[in-house]
Amino acid sequence: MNNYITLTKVLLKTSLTSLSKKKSQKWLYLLLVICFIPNLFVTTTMYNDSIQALEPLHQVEYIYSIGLQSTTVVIFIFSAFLIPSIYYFSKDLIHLLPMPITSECIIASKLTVCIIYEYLFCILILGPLFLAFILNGYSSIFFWLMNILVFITLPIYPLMISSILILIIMRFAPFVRRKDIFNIVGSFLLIGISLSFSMLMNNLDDNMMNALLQGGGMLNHLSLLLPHIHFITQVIFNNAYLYIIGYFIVHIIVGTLFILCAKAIYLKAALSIEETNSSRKALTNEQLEKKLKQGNVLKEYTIKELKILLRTPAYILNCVLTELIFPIVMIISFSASGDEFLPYIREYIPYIPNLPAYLCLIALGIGMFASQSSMVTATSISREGKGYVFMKYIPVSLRTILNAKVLSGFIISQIMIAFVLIGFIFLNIDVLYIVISISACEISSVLGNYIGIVIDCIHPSLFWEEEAAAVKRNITGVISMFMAFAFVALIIIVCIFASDSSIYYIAFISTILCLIIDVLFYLYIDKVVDKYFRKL
Amino acid sequence: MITIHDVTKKFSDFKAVDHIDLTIPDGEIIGFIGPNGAGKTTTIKMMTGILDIDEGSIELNGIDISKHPIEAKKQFGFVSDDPDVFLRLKGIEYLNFMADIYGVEGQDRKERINYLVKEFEMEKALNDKIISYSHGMRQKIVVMGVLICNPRIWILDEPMTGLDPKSSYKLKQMMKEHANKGNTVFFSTHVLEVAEKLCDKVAIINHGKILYFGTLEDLKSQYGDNDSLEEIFMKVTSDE
Repeated sequence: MNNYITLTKVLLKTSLTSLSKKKSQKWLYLLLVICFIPNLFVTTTMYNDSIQALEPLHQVEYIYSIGLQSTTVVIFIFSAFLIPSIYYFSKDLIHLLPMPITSECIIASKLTVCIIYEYLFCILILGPLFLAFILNGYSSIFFWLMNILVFITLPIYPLMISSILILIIMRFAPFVRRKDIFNIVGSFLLIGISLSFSMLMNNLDDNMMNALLQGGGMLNHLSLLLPHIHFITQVIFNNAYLYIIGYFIVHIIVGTLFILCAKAIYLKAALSIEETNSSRKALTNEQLEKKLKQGNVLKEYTIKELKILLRTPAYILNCVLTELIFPIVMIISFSASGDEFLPYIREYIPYIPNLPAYLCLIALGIGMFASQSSMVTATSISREGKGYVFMKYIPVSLRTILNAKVLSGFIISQIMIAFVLIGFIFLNIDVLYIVISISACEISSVLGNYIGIVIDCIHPSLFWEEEAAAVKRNITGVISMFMAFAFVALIIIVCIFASDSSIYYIAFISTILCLIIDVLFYLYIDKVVDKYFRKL
Repeated sequence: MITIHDVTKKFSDFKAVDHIDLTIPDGEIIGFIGPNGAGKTTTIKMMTGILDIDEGSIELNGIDISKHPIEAKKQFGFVSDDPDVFLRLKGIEYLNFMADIYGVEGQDRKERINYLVKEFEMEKALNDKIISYSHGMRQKIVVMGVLICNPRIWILDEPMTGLDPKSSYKLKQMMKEHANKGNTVFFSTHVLEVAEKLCDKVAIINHGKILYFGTLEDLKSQYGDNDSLEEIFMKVTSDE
């Protein structure tokens, strides 16, 4: 028990010290809190309206139950990806495993830290629920004592179930024990689940809602999987006090299973974790011949950039995936608008006045957005990390190095541009207009990539311990994203307010201007950033 | 040959390197030793173009690195003290990339890789990503990446760190062979026994100044015939 308490304190302290104490970061945290306020308001209103609707029917407990169930499900889904990182892929494991601490003690401590962190999450989801009940007069001491108990214990059940499943999977599914594969597959799954849920919510109709809520519906099935929520709801709303025993028994059973699993199978899997796969097979002469081909420096440097980008999970998820997510979200939004909207658009588009000019301007905006939102060039110097010195001592000009990085960003931008092309074809836009628009898209995409690399040369984030920090905790990425949004906003304003007589000129001049700047950047990019590069 | 002429490097008011003069001749192995914070890494960074020189000049085989950086950088291969580079590339990809950067012809690169891979016993690791390598293997692949380019000047910053005894021995043999062919080998080390056995000359630096440059015999005769290099080093650097 002493080991468990000591280890939990140390792990908690280590986790909290990773939070920045800088004043600027504290303002960022405050800003994040403020950003959540509208969300809290909307959720509270939703719960409040539901309570008022169901109170006359004496079915308020369903709202309470739904609130707890949804919180539990969300904790479960997100913990499925969080827990492997903490139990298996964290750096402290290499120091903990040799110590005379049992394996169940290690993960019990780690689980406790997870539970404590989930309280922050619970505040965001349960806070509006509890607030809605306060607004509707539920204020007895007993009610609030029970709510405190619920708040403290709610994350335990989903985290333990998730832990048991993860322990079994990690022990018996060897390919998952590779950190790279896990991070990529896990993140794709998470995004897939989120987008599918979003599609489902967008297409929810009355029949589906009834199916969810009625007897035999999904919520009833969920309550069988989450019996403790049913028990506590009975205690709070129906004064069935003996159910509190059932509430604790469920937790004790799950806790016991968790400890037994940890004892039996955690260590074996933890000791065989690999960063990535390695075959340790010698190359044959033919294979060596194939791999050893002399190439042009610009081309090979670009290929090197792309290989590192596409092989690093953190970079795939934060740079490459954004090129996919935005178009997919747009497709989901359009599909939610129903079957009437799209045929109407397809029919009406050829009749839009000055269509080529508008398409050209929109394409300029999309190209800029595609290049900046991926943050490939806006983090290309930062992603070098402490290995940035390599760029300085190799006999390759700065211009070649930067153009290679821009080229890699341009190639990644093609993912989003391909969606645009498909969209234009789907909307039956004239081939000539498509060619003009896509050309404008490519021109602004090149410009966006050059702007990104200039920003990163001025303010790179080179000293990081984990690759994700180069792309996530990087102000250049944020600046790049804001610039993308600003450019798109400018395009929209121009499209709305420009007169019919001037729109063609604006489109033409904007495109030519972007092209000229692209050429100038290609020729003189090293001169533009030389001062900053020397300071690195 | 490396010529360092009256070179100074300042960081704000602090002089990391203070008016140093050093001529590293061809055909010799020069050890660069000094305590932590003496200015070794700063000097090496200026030699390799990583840092700008504030005052003075550095020439590599007669080419000024400030005036003609690309040409000067073709004269040397640099092994940094941190082997954690390009971890997501496979060993063979890294070697091929380095060969492309330094313009090594196709047939030459194949022959050199085959030779180096056998010498460093890396046959089975080439097709795996560098991130899966141990520290020593990463150090080996970085050394191989320099050797494949066969530059005339080798500049190595703590090259023996992490190498197993066999690989360490191989690298020392290669350094001797390279110097014997009339080329320049310049390396920094904290392991004075290595410097004692390998170097033709040593340069001792402390507080940004060169305290001694010459043969070990002269150093011993100056500071104590019977003392080891370690003891002499303590004397030289403590006199400052």
